[in-house]
Amino acid sequence: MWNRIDKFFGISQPKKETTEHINIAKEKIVISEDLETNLNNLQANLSDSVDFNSKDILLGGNQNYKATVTYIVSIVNQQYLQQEILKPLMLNIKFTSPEDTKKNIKQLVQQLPLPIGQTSFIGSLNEAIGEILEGKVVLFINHFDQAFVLDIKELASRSVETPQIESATRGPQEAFTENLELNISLIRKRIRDNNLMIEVHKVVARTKTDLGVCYINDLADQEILKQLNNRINNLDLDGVVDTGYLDQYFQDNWKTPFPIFQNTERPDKAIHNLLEGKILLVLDGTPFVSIIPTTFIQFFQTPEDYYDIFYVGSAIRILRLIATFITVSLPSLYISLVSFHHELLPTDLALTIATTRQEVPFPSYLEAVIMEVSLELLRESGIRLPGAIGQTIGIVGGLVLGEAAVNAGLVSPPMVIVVAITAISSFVIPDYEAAIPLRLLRFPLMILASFFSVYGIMVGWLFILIHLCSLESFNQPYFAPFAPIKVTDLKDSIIRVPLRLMGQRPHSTANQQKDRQTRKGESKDEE
Amino acid sequence: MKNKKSDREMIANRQLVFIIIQITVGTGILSLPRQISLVSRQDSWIAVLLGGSYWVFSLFFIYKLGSQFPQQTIIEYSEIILGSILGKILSLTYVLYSITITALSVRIFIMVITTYILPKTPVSINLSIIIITCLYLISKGLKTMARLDEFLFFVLAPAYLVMIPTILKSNWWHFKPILGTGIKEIFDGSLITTYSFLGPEIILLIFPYIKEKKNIFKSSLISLGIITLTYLYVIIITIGYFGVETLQYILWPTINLLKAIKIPFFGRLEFFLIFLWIAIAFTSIAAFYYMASYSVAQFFSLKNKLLSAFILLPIIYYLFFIPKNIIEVFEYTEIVAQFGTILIFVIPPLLLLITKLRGLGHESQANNS
Repeated sequence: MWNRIDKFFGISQPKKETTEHINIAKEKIVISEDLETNLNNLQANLSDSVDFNSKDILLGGNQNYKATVTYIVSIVNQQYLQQEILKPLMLNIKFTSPEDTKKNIKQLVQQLPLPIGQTSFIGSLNEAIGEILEGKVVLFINHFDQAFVLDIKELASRSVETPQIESATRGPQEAFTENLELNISLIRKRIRDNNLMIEVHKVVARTKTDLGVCYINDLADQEILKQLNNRINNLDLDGVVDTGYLDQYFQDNWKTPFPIFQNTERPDKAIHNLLEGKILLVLDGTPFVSIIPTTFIQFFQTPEDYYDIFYVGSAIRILRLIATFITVSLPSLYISLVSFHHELLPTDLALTIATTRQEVPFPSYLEAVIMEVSLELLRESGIRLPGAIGQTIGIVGGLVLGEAAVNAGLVSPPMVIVVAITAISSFVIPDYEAAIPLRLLRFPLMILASFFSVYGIMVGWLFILIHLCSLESFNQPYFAPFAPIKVTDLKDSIIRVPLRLMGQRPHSTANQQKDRQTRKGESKDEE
Repeated sequence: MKNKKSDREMIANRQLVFIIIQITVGTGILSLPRQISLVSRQDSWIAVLLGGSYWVFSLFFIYKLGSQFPQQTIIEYSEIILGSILGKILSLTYVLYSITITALSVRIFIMVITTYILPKTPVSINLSIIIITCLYLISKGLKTMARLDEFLFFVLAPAYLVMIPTILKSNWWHFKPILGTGIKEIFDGSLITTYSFLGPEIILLIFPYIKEKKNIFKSSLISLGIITLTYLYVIIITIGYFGVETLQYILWPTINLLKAIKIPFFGRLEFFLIFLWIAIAFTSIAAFYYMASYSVAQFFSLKNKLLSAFILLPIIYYLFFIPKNIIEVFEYTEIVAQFGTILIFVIPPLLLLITKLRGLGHESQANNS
């Protein structure tokens, strides 16, 4: 649409560059036999970076075997390099005959007792640059048209810690970290199944980030996998920093406020979803793992629901849905009751509210909007401030300001109560990402309510419902167990039935094996 | 359009059941008890059952006709059956019918909204709000509508359940003497129900999008059963509570009924019903609007249903303001109901007959190709 508008005003569009053009080297360069040429080529591409290092050595101390070790200082384990690579290369290689270098050199290097798991030979210089940038050491040898790659990268990362955002009362207290391999190991150690597949794609032109796609082969839907691979291959981006980037690009419908994929930092949650036949996106550099495909109800579920007794789990889920309802519509219902339909309230209550509102100069909708906006301000400032000061904001903003506003007669106490309940409810929604759009939706609803009372609220709800029904996550209905209704999936939605009765995997995420266990259940598909 | 629809666009038969229920039960339900008891008096419940049973035949013919042209809608195959001129005229009547019924049901909807919720807000603004919501649903397509309908069916069921307490205060003498009104009155009453039963003809349009075409008749019968039971329930409860004589003086008996129930701390229970009824009526209006815009899109071979919905806007606004008052509105509903009766009860069997005589349809087409 913007293109059209720009065209209309005669604004020229910059031509869209494809990812290939951004690449460092356009044509493929082969590694030549001449060491100097290789180094010159390398330097042309990498010399500007301060931390690029190339060190000339003589293999086995022999003048005839010049070689160069190239690497980037900041992402390589230097001590290891000196002790375990340079030393053996310089001292331990024994040459039998000085003549037939070309044939033997590969064998010699291979036979060298280097204590490194991942080594390989590559023939193209572009590849070599890629490997160097990834934190590997590349060894060029004179008169030899291949380069030897040694993986000794050491990237700064933190160790496994407790979950920061999704804290839980029960269950594993590990959280994913920014390191892809560590994350995969957290998954791998929990599923000892040979069907657990982990594919790593290098995505995106500039950052060349590793993207792990993780699924259980005989559970995940192959159709979704195919689509996912398609979307990964078509990804046209400069860089990815967080899975949030991918989510926005992989969405079926990008014009939606609702999160289409769930992100989690808890391995147990990820595993639970893997076992339901879902696919995980593990991006290097972020502790958040995306779950594909996602249904709306998932945002209201936490791992503890399954760990606790099912009565407790179900009750808490119902509580969360009530909280969602309150978050979205309590302020608007209050507005419509107070400004349009006070006769709906019991007389005593109506009188109480009327008395408190006597001195308030604002109409109720304005009062509500002011209060709700200031609540959002408080919340946002609380997040941005460092932990210790953040609490002060809560006290100053919530207690002092609220009290003062009521005493000054600017705001009526019932309004403060409504706003406070809304705020508390909005924090009951376990997924922070899902809570944001729901919290914001109450503003349009408040505006509708102030104009059209309950009629406006119902229309607003219908709008939200239509939108939810139309959404799809990888062609799977987003609002799934409810619309379209999947009777068998309702067992794990608003309530959670005992684990004994959850013999079947959810049908919403179409998958191959319906039964979780060998126990027999009817596997009649609904749609 | 003649190509087979891809599986992703299809709706399940289960969803068809809910679409038919939601399109049919809408604006009619509020006034039906009064209208029908005017004629059939204490035997209204028999009249409703009778009125529902007519539809079994109609649905059967609609299904048979549809399965002759499983990949086409009535707008498309009417030209094949009747030739281009007659076919176009028939299509146009269907288009006109669906526009009129949309406008009429919106009118009744807005009347209730104005009476109970927003007496001071200009009617045209109230109208615009609901129309915008309809347009949004139409832009999302049939599949979304199907999902919304099946979801709302279960969510809105409490709206009917809140009426149950009035049974305690019902007087069962209001139904006696059974069959005392006479056969002719019962029959006349069953014809009055037609307006409330309009809606299942949407099958004529969405037939190509239904997954299992063989079970369409079965699905539509299930929905017809649920619709008839709903009306029966409402009529029995209202007559049982008010009695036939009182019922004549109540404009929306279904709403007024709830005034009888008093729950401590919650002043007006009927308000709860109106609140939920907004959604019930919306699904009906939106589905009629969808039907209208889809048939217009097919008639003028437009690809975009939303565009045709926009084209219809001025017509709906015009038709909306034609009835001057509430009495005229109900007169118009009767006219539309008669119009609909011809289109739904007479035309499909006739078309089917001509198809068979001319050797058109699914079987013969299969032989040719």
